Amino acid sequence: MTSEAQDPTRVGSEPPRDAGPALVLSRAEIIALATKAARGAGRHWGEAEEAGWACGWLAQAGLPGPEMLLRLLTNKDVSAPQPDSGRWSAPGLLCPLRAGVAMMDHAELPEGPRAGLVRLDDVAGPLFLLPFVARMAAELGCPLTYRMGASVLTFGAGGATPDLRRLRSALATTRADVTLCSGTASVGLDETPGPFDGLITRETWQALDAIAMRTTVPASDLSRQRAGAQASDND
Amino acid sequence: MTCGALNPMPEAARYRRAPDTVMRLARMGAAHPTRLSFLRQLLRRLSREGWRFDRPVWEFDARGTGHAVYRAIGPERTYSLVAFGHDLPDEMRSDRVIATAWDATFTLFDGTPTPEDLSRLAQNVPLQEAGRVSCRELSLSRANKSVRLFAHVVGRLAEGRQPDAAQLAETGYLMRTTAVYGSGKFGAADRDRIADRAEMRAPFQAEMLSVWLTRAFTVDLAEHLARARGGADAVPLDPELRRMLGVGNSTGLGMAPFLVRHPVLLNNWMMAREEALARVRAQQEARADAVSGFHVALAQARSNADAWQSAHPLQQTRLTALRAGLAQLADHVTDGWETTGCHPWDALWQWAEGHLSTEAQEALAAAMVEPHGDLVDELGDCMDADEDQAFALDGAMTVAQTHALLRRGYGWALEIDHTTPEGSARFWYVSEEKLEPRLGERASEPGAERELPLDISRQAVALFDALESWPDETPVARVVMAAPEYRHILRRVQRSDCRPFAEIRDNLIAADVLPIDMLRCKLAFFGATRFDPRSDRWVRISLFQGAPYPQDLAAEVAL
Repeated sequence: MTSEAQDPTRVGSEPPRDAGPALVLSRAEIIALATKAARGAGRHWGEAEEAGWACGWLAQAGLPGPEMLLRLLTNKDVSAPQPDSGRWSAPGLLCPLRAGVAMMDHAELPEGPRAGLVRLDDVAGPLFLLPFVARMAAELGCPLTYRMGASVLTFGAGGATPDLRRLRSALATTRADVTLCSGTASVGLDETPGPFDGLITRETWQALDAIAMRTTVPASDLSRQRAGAQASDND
Repeated sequence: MTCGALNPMPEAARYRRAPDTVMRLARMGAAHPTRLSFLRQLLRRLSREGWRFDRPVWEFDARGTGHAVYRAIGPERTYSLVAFGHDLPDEMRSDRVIATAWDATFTLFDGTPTPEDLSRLAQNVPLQEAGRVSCRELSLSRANKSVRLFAHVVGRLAEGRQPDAAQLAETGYLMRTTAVYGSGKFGAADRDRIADRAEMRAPFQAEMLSVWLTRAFTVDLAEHLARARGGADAVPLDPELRRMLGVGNSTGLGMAPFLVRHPVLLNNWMMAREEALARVRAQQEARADAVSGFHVALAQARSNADAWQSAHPLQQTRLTALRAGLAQLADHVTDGWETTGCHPWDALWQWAEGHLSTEAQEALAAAMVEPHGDLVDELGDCMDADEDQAFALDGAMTVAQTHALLRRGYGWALEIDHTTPEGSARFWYVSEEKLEPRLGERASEPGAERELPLDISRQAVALFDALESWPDETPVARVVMAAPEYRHILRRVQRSDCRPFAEIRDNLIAADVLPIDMLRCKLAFFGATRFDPRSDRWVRISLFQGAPYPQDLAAEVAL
């Protein structure tokens, strides 16, 4: 159960003043921050929830989800994919969030990876696809292999979140073609989970929070008055 | 619910109330705590497993400033409430989330804290939202005094006298918590770090443990201050009077969106409670011990209703109906109820549906479940939820199948007219100022373009209408590719398919929506009593009133 994990309605906006240049967020905080930021950046709520979930997954896998999301949300050149059998492309760079979500939705359809190899052209920040590929493997109940240049990762059907810290060097890849296919590459991922990584720089936090704040409404006297009880709390 | 296959009483299914009856706000807002409530589950476990309790640290001055540690030591693990007392001027006391100082602040520590832990916590816990805790902490909370009662109790004890029982009964608590954060808030441990521990599996167990130990702290603090003032004359609080005190809680709109945002959890809570009532009704006979237990529960419900005070006109009306209904029920149970007939519990329930107010019916449901622990307590194991597992969308589902799902599970929504001013009069939003959820008037307040997606019925109607323009056999993956704005509601609709209690079946943006109905439903599942609305969006309650204290637990027979 994540009893409050996806509740974006309450999360502190101010990090502690003495937090220094970085702070450690819980998975629930990462999910809340990422969901609100994606919504603040203009994504619809359903997709914003996916962004939040994906950032939580990435942190669990040892990758800096919030930083990856920030790069995506501030990239003006990304657009939605046009799914087709065997090949997905977009007018500009392919948005990995839209593509990842749509790929999961199409998993069992002719455009999806179960039907055969799918090539995604020119994906922005392509590691952001990983959570969706992992979930798709679990949903389909069959291993899925992700190839990006020399990186080949096979996600098992068990749904475990693997330790992907070794991919940090690939974070610098701003765009790449990716292929997905069902079945196993010679070596699957070690599914031993790594340490959760909630580390976030103050700079990234502030940038995402600024975008997230676009989901909030400035206060008015009326809203303050209506928010609480009418009587004093000294009784 | 995940426990269906193990159900030892499948015949109960036909006695379950329909979601269209149960999931209406007016009924949810009349909810009463039951033996499945989370604080009851906690106390039963602590008692059953023989947990021990101690207070290894108590360092307080005569003004109530200082800190303490309360430990709950279980068979496998220890949890510690770390409490900080502050000397708060009256003008700074506020229950709102916008407050920045409190009479006392708390965290539940995972294990026994070292001096270094305590020093770290002393720098952060008193700051609450402005501080940070770590994955060693499971909750973060604060409490304010009930000023008059606290002063009365300390004054009397210092003079060597006991406080006035009537005043104790009227307020019911020495302190009330104004927020209890758990599950990863402000850096605390994520739920999944503790969810596989037996004692933390049921919802909100860390929070309930924290509040229960807080209750012990409030009495200890009052006795400490009385000793500081009265010296050798001071006396401790009489155990009978002490037991009358719970911990108050003051809850506003912040809690209202929770039930909407956690439909799987809501379903599992409701399903467990409804299954419990159905199992009781499905019994062919009424056991003598259960009948006598029911009489005790009913008497307690009546005395609770008599003692329950509210200054709010709405709740006063409900209380009048509750007291009258319980009196009528007591008469019927004495004179009209055939306990030896066939399905006597069901006969009693059916009588109640025809004769009693909603408040009294829900009180009866709780009283009927009360003496049937052997039949229903295992349902407590079904009240948690792995929400990640229900997160994926089935993109291959067709438009026709989705339409059918909507007709089946959202017929209540499709009947609502959202195009009138009353039908969409309100909007939920988060305030920039304090990041708290608020409810605005669409016609007169700015900000509706930043609305939270709590307008479930309106979204369901919009999805239904949008699907009309797609061919029946189209997979919904293509629909949300073209129109991603429907993803949010589509996920809910698919998730509700096998979860009939996942949605509140009312218009949450209607002109007459009462947020306190949502608050009360959730708080009743916590185990709260004495709901006292302060407005249509703010409620005070009491937790653990009448319950044992840590030192009494070993002697308890009925929990």
